[in-house]
Order: sequence, then C-alpha cells, then structure tokens
Amino acid sequence: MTIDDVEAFLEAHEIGRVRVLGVTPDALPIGKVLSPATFLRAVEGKGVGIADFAMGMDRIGEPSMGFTAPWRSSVIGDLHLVPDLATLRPVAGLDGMAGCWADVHAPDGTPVDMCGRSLVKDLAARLAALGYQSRFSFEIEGQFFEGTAGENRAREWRDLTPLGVGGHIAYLAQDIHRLDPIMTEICRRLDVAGVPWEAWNAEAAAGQFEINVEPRDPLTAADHVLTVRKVTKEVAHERGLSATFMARVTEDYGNGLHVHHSLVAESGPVFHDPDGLDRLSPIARHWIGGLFATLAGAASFMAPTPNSFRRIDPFKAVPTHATWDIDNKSTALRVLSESPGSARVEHRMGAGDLHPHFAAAVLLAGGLAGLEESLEPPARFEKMAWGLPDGVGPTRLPADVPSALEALDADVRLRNVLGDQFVDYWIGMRRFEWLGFHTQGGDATSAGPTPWELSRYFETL
Amino acid sequence: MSPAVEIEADAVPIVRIVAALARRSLAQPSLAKRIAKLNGIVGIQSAADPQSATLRFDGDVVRVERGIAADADVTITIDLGDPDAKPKVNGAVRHPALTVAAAKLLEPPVGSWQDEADRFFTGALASPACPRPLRVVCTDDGTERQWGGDGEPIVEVHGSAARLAIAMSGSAVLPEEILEGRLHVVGDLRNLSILTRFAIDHLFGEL
Repeated sequence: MTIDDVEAFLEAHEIGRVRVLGVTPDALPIGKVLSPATFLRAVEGKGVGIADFAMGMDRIGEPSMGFTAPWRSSVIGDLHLVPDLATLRPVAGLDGMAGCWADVHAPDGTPVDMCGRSLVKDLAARLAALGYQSRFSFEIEGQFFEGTAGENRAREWRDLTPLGVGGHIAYLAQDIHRLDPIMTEICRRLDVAGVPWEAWNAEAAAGQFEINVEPRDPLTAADHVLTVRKVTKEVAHERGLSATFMARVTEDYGNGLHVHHSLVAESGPVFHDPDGLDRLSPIARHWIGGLFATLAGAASFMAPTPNSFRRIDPFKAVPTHATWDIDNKSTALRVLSESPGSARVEHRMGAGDLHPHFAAAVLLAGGLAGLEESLEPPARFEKMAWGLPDGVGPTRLPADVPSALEALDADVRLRNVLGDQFVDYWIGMRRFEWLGFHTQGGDATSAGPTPWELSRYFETL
Repeated sequence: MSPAVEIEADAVPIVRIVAALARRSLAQPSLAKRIAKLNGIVGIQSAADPQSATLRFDGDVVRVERGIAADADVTITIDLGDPDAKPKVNGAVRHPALTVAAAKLLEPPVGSWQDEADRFFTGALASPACPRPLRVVCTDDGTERQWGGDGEPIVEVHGSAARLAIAMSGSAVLPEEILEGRLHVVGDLRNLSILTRFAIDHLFGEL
C-alpha cells in the first residue's frame, strides 16, 4: 500500500480518525487515535511515539520489575508504533474510524524483541527460507455475563451471572437464541475488519461461546484473535453485557485457545503423505517431533497466568500429559492426517488468555527446531490421556507457573530459536505475575478464581 | 547440628520467605539447639490475604509447606502489610514452647545496616548481571559505603539505619521500600528493575 493508496483509502471511507494499536507483552492492545494527517505523517516517518513504559508495565499498570531489556530506557523514553498498512480497515461500530495493527520499534528503528508481531514475522521468514509457509487458525473461546464490566467491577466480581443457562454440553442449542443477536453483530463487525470468521457455537460452560476463523499466515491469524477479543468486548458493552477471554472465570469449564496449524510449500500442503507412517510426511513428523520436544518449554506461553492453570482439569478437554496421537482430543498434540487439505496439528494446551503472537512464535520455534534437527516424535499415545496415574506412562505437563518457567528456562531449543533475551524477559514477566498472585490476594487452593484474578484479568482479556 | 529447613518443590512465595527466615534464625546456636528438640506443627497465615504456610518441627528437620495444616498445634496470624502489628496466636496456652520457638524462628536478628548490606550485595554482585558500583548512604549520620568497585555509583540507596537494615536483611523487598518512599534512590529504573530480581532472591534466601 503506497502513501497515495492510504490517502485514497481514508477518503473513500470518509475516515476522520485512525486507531493505531501495538500489542504489549501481556497481549494488551495499546496505541493512539490519530487525525488522518497525523496518521499519514506517521506512515511516512518513524511511526507513532509512545512512552516505553507502556511496554514495560504489567497488565494493571505496575512497572514490571526484576529484569530489563535494551529497549527499556534508563528512565522513561519513547518507542514507536509502526503501522502495518496491510491491516488497515474501517472499524465497524465506530463511524469514521479506521484501525490498524502496528509493530513496536525502538527509536533506532529496530523491532523491540517483546513485540510479538515482529517476532512472528522473523520466524515466518526463517521458515520461508526452508521453503515453507505456515497456516494458523485459533479456536477462540470466551464467555458473556450479564451486566457491563463496570457494573460487575462495582460488585467486586461477586455473583457473576453468565448469559444463558448453559448445559455443560458443547454445541447445545438451547441458548443460541440469546447468543445470536450478539454474535451476529460481532460477525458483521469482523467482516468489516477483514476477519474471515467461519462459525460460532455455544460451548460447554454457561455463557460460553467459540468462534472459528479461517486459517491464515501466523501473523494475520494472531492479529485476528486480538480483533475478535476487542470486537466482542465492544459489542457486549453496547448491549449492557460483559465478555471475557480469561482462562477460568467460574468453577465451570474454562476458556481455551487451541492452535491449529500446518505447513504449505509452493506445491501445496506438505503434512499429508498417503504412504507415510500414520499418513504423515517426513516434514510433518519432524515438525511434530519439534513440537513434542518443546511441549513443556512452551507451556508458559500457552498458559501464561496463574489463572491459565486453573483450566487444567482432567476430563475437561485440557491436556495434562506430554502426548500426541492421531485425532485424539485427550492428547496435547492432536494430529489430523486424513487428506492433504485437512492434515494439521491442533496444539491443545492453549488457554484463553494466551498471547496469540507469542503462542504462534513458540510453536513455530518448536517446529523449526524439529525440521532443523530432523526430530522424530515418540510413539503415539493411543489411549485416553486423562486420569493417568503418577509415574506411569507419559510425562506430566507443567501444572503451575513455576514448573512451566523452569521447563522453559531449561529448553535449549526454544532458547536457540527465540533468543535468550526474549526468553529471559518472558520468564521475568511471568515470575513477577506469579509473585503478585501469591502476595496480593490470589489463592491457588481456592475452588474458583479469586477476586485478585477477576479484577486483574476479566476486563483486560 | 542445626536442623535442616526443607521446602516442597515449586514452593509458593510465603513458603520460601518463611524458610529463608527460619534458616537465618537457625544460624543462632542457642535457638538451633532448642528447635532441634521440638516436635509440633505451627500454621502461619496472613491476616490480609489467603497466604498461609505450615511449619512442621521434627527434631533435625523443619519442613515448610503451603497452606495451614488441619492438625496444626498452634496458628499464628500475621498482618504482612504491617510489621508493627501484634500477631494473633491460637494454641499458645497448650504449646508455649512451640509458640515461642516459632515466633523466634520468624524473626531472625537483624544486624547493622552495614553488615546486612554487605551480605546482600556480596551475594548479588557474584552475578555479572548485578549493576555496580552500588552505594548506600545512611541518613542518620551521613555514613556511606560502596560495593562493586570505586567510581560514581550506578545505584545509590539512602535511608535511616533502621530501614536500611530491614531492607538489606531480606526482611523487606528493597525496591518496594523505595517505591513506597521508605527509602530513596539515586539511579534509574533499568538498574532498579535488575536489582529487584536480586532483592526477591534475597527475600527467598536464594541469593
């Protein structure tokens, strides 16, 4: 898109303001609303200036302490949001506004290493150098509650009332008439935003829904997750409701974010091989081998908060052990290999609160390690992977923040691909969050989320 | 021989903090001797939030676990946000020796600010990641000490002898003392952030 194209776009859509959003390491959209003239200057220049503390704070605005990075200035300096014009779209529901996602750059023009968009671009380029592109699609689960977030906050998150009655059965149609008006408006806005939604359905918990989006390159697919979160919350608010994507809101089923992905080459999809073991190509086996070898190391990206780990509950569709199998939804990696078009990996560890760009990045990193080292996965786990006795069979996946961080810290493959600086900063962030949970009111032994979790995550996710 | 302090894998912060306090206290031979003769279970809980831990005294071993054990002989409720608040104790009448020993275990002696800072900074400076030089200025009498080399300090901490001693001993988190205005700093956010990691490790007795 040239600058003339941008100008023409702004005129054609009668845009009076442009929202430019970057993404923090906690997956919070941050940015500014610009006049059209300022936006054009930002596109032609270094982007939009923001204070670097916006990227260096936790999700409630406290400075993340205990670690640092070169892009964090010695006191408070500037970073730049560099608009990604490929994502420029009108914003439905806000007449005269356009929006786009942005990369976060340091003043010298280099991408900030905690900018997930930039990281995914780097890894996609590394994969492209091997002759492959990846296609990602996220299964996005969230929940609606009666009352706006402000009203629920005023009640200190007590007596949260899910929309509808729920039935503890996924796909149940009894609440569709209540969900439909909201979901229809969400999908209309997603159309305007260029998010190719495929389907939605009621999920197992009361007030829970799932939205499926068509596969795209990993950057676009991760952007789509954040757009879905934002649009859903906006529509819910306009209707006097609240929506959240936090991993566990009530004692009912939690919200997941399974990640489907596959590789394609110029010749087409490359995971399927009709003559291969399990109908998988050697490329697919190496990719799965890499994902498997980094399953535990990836856990803190797939489940970043103490609340994420509340979702881990045997027999509630969440993997508990390091396992893979063909079309087995109890395993951590569910692999489909029936046909070239459908062959893919579903990584099932993801919690609803994950950072979609970091999640895509860590799966690309694991897969790349698998390709580069020609790793082979272990034997398939062809049984039910829930309810397994301790010490028997496959290794248990990390079940809390410290064990997930320990696994990441020790994962040489992920460190090699993602870089020590990124990994150490992430570990520092997650450790800071864990400390806050335990010392400011969280309680890992409570049956459901504590007020600390609800006040921290309900509105920001 | 001083009793060993053990904690579970993946221990929560209060367990690590209590274990660190216990290890420091057990450096006193007289207390170590008294604890080595004790058997009993003491629960510790925060008055302000859900944090809790259990100390299991079993002669040569003091084991610290998360949560309050149902069979605790003594329960001590502490206001973690107010170090001057008097703890509430249940079970002290039946188990006076256990109560006194646990109380002493949770309150290790704090040395002079110079000694405590020396212990903290010597541990932190063993890591190349720790900023240096570091200077501490006692505002009571203007005395200064510096660690990690000569020259202009990269971080300078100012405060009263009492506050400095508490912060440097690991009984409080140094950067939290600074952010809440109980101590003051000349330096920058980047280095204060790095120093936070060492302060937390110190609080956990893991420096």
